[in-house]
Order: sequence, then C-alpha cells, then structure tokens
Amino acid sequence: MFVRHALQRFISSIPVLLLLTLALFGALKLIPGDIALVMAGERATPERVEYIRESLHLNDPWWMQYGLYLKKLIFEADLGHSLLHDQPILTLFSTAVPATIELATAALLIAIPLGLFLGVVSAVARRSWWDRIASLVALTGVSMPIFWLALLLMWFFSLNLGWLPTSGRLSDEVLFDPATESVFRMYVLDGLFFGLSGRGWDLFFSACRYLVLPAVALSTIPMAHICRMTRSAMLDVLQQDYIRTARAKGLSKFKIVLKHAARNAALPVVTIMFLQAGALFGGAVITETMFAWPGLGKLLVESIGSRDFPMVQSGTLFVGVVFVFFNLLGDLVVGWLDPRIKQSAAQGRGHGA
Amino acid sequence: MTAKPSVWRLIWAEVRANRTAQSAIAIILLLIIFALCAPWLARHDPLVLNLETARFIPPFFMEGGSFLHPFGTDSSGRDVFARVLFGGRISLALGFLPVLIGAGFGVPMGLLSGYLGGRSDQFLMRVNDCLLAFPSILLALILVAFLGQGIVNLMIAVGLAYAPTFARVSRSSALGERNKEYVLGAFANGASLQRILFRHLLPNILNSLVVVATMSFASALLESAGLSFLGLGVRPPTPEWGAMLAEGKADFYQAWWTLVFPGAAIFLTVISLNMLGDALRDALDPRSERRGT
Repeated sequence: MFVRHALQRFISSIPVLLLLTLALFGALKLIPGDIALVMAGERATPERVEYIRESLHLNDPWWMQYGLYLKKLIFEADLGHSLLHDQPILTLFSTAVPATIELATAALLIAIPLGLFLGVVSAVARRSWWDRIASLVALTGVSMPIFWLALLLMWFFSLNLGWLPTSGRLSDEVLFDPATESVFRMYVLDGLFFGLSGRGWDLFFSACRYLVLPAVALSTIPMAHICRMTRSAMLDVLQQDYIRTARAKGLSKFKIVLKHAARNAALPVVTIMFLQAGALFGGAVITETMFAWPGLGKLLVESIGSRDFPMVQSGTLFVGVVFVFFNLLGDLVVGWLDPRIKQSAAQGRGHGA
Repeated sequence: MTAKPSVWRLIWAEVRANRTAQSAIAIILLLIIFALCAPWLARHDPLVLNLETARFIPPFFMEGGSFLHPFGTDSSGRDVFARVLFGGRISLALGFLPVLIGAGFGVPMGLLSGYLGGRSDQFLMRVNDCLLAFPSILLALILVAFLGQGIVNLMIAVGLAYAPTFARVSRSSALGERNKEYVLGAFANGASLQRILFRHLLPNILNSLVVVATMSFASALLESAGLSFLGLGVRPPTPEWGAMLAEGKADFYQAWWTLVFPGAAIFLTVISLNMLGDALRDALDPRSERRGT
C-alpha cells in the first residue's frame, strides 16, 4: 500500500518536471533580441556569436531544439556549458552542490531543534513570558533581512570579537588542496576523515569555524517558520478531547505533551520542515553570496548577473528538481505518519477528475 | 439572518482592541509619511557627492557627528539620513506595487478557476501548486534573469512571483462561496460572469485577501531589497534600502552607520507589517484560532 502510494506520487511529479523544462526553454526564447548576441555581449567577435548560436542549435526549429535539449538532459545528463566559467555545468555543480549541502545541513541542524523547542515551549506555556519571547524570536526571524543579519553577525563576531572568519570556506593556513585531496567535497566531513585517519584536526576545526556564521544566518528563517507552525499545531492539538482525557487520567504534563500531543501535531510541522529543507538545499542565494560560500545559490546569482543563460537554465532546473523531490519526500513521510491521508487521497481521486 | 459585518469594520474593531496592531500601524504610517515628505525633511540631496569635506561623518550621537548629518555620511559624502528617507519611497513602493501586480494577476485567475471548477480548474491549480513550491524570492530571481534588471522589471518579477499565492487564496475562497444563495441568485438573474466574479464574489472574499496582501507586502519588500542587495534590482547610486546596504558593505569596517540605518529601516517596516498581518489574521480569518479561547 505504501509502496503504491509512493510510486503514484512519484509518477505524478514527472509532468511537473517536464512542464518546468518547457517553461525554462520557453523563457529562453522570450528574451528580446538575438539570444546569441545577448549572451556573447556587445564586444564579442562574430565567431563567438556563431559558436554560441551553433552550440545552442539556434538555427533549428524550436521543437527540435527542445527535443534535443531534453534528449541531452535525460540520456546524456548533459546540462550544457557555462559561458561565464567556460566549463561543463555538471563539473561546476559537482563542487557547488556539496558546498550547498554542507551549509544547508548545518543550518537545519540549528533550525529544527531550536524551532521545535521554542514552538513546543510557547504552546505549552501559552501566554507566559516564555511564549512571548519565543513568539518575538519567531517574528524577528521572519522579518529580519538575512543580508542585514549576516552583516551584523560579521561585524560583531568577526570584527569586534575576532572569533570567527567573515567569508570563505577554509583558512589559507590549512594545508589542504580541495581539488585533489577532498573526498566528500564537504570540508567538515573531509576534516573528520583526516582527523580520524591521523592526519591532524586542523582541517576539521578550520572548516567548522568557517561554517558557523553562514549556518546561523541561514537558519533564522526556517527556525522561525518551524517555531510558528509547531506552536499553532500544538495549540490546536492541546485543545482536543483526548488531551483532556489524558489529563483526567492523571498523566504528567510532560508525558501528555511528548506522547499524545507531539505525535498528532507532527504532520503540519513535518510538512513545513521538508518545504524549508527544499528551499535550503536548492541553494541559499543571499547567504551564500554574502559569505562567499561557493554553493549553488552563489553560482546562480553570478550567472544571472552575467547573463550566463545556460547556467541559469540548468541551475533553475536543478533547484526545481530539488524542490519537487523534497515536496515528494515530505508528502511520503506525512503519509507514512498518518495512514488516513493516503486513503483520502485514493478516494478523492475516484470522483475528483 | 444577520448581515456579515464588513471587512473594514472588523479590521477597525480588531485594531481598537489590539495594542500591537496599533503600534504597527503607527510605525508604518510614520514611515510612509517620512518617505513622502523626504524633500522637506532632509536637508541634503540624496545623490550629491561631497568627497572632500564630508566623507564618513559619524551620526549625531558620536564624537565628530552633528545634527547636520543625523545618520552620518557614506564613503562619497552623501547624507545617510536623506538617502534613507528617499530610499523609503522606492523600497516601500517595491513592497506595495508588486502586491498589486500579484493580486491583479492572481485574484482574477483564482476567482475564475474556483467559480468555474472542472478540468481547467484542476489544471490551473496543478500548475499553481508547482509554482507555490518555489520560494517567491527564487521565482523573482529567475524572472529577473529572463526579464533583465532594473526597477520596473524587479517590480514585475516580484509581483508575478506572488500571483500564485493570491490565486490559491482567492480560488479556495471562491470555491467556498460559489454555491451560496447570493451567487446562485445573481446567476439566475442573468448577471454576467464578470459581474458575478467581481461584484459578488470579490467583496465576500476580501477578508482573506487583506491578510494575504499585508503579509505579502512585508515579504515582497524584503525580497526586492534582497535582490537589489545582490545587484539584480535597483542599482546604486539610486537610494534604495537594499542597494544602500550593498554599497555600504565595502565600508563597514570604517562606517557601520551606512549599514545599520537602512537595514534597520527594512527590519522595522517588515516586522510592523508582519505584526499587523498576524493581528488581522486573528480578526479576519475564520480558520485561525480566535483570541480569548
């Protein structure tokens, strides 16, 4: 039953992805003017323009171009060639994606426990000072411009206190060549690997120090959303009859919250956690740019600024795939936690169309 | 049978009882007034450079500062106070106008889709759900990539990124209203589709729309500033809060005030709008928890 549900959901997301490729392909066509000229820039030689025109198959009819694009994408995993970096986009992704994964994971490791904790506390101790403080933290989290927060963090922790570095991924003093020595392309993991294999812990500590500020800055928004959602879901549940029954049975408040309420409040919270995770793993545009973190978001911003359209196209597609994947994953986890949803979805399909 | 109280009366009642909403409105109004009256309040032109005598003057409360430049000056000797005030005009507009654009596209779509139902509704909402899965800043970013940069394109991009939100809300509200007697009555009377959608349905779903619009105002402002900060929206030297932060980033070792004031302006506006949005949701949205329970 679960496998079938999962398969159905998976298949239903394929048209979405196809639509995305078509939209991105169409968007490229909608750019006014000669796309090859636009991409080459004003000072390009005619040969360069012709090269771009050739490499994008601009001389063919549009449906052939689209077919070719899809064919390359699906069967050859060819994401195109970046004009700005003059490298295959797949190569660029192979270093940018691990960097983004490292940062996003670190941010989620801060955001999820903190958001859950604040949300539960403020729901349980409703209208107390705890509730007010937690709500204020959450409100600040959604309202804080992340680029401003990043600047303030840098100013305070790097400049005034000198505790943490402002940007980049690694100190120059660490003897480490990422191109040849990196196993995971995630320096914290590499550092752990180095340390455990007896090559010293320098890399690990340096990598962690560089990770702290961007991760903290990035964690604020998901933390705030998780906190707000947890609070309202818990408040909903705590008003239900079965909670009153549990209380009447004389169970301790701790046990009620943990065993009875948390399980039932989990669904919307899990959904929003996966949505937020999807947003982070798709590349944190502002945070990565601020802290010079060489991930997907930074790559995307650079490519937009320099009109590197193949990169924009493939970057967006990748981000889209990540979102769809996390949405799907969230749906499946929720379906697994609550079997009622699967059933209603199956019934809904009967008379829905 | 009692008539449904009008949206504005509900809002007024909520605001009268809720002190948070009052202070939020006060701050927002104050910021709008400051922005509108910028030419009379600021003593300097926000664009005039003064590289010889006025570089990096600190704000008034620090040594070397004066009320001539209450927020100090930046690396080119421009008055930060004047730039924050004039920047407010653009930044606030970049929050507000995209909401209008988003509502302009999303609301008719959602109303039509919800009212007509059927296959087209299914299809439209499918597409809409895909769009909603993306965070709006990313949608706006992609649109900017294809539209090109500049203030107008930024506004359109951010605005279009909000259309799915408005479409979803108005669709689900329209779905709830379409079989009510007043709608059926209007239809039986031979009212045109346009009339049913905008004269009958729209006023009755304003509740939800006002809440969404307030929240969207906050996040659209944040996103426009963010895109300008990344250099993809408003370009320096035009005074805009996000663009000012981008410019000041290089000087932040010497002059923290070039960053703190525009950033604080964004934060203050956004947090006030969010506070107001929360209060309005409690008052207007039937699904949210009622106060006092």
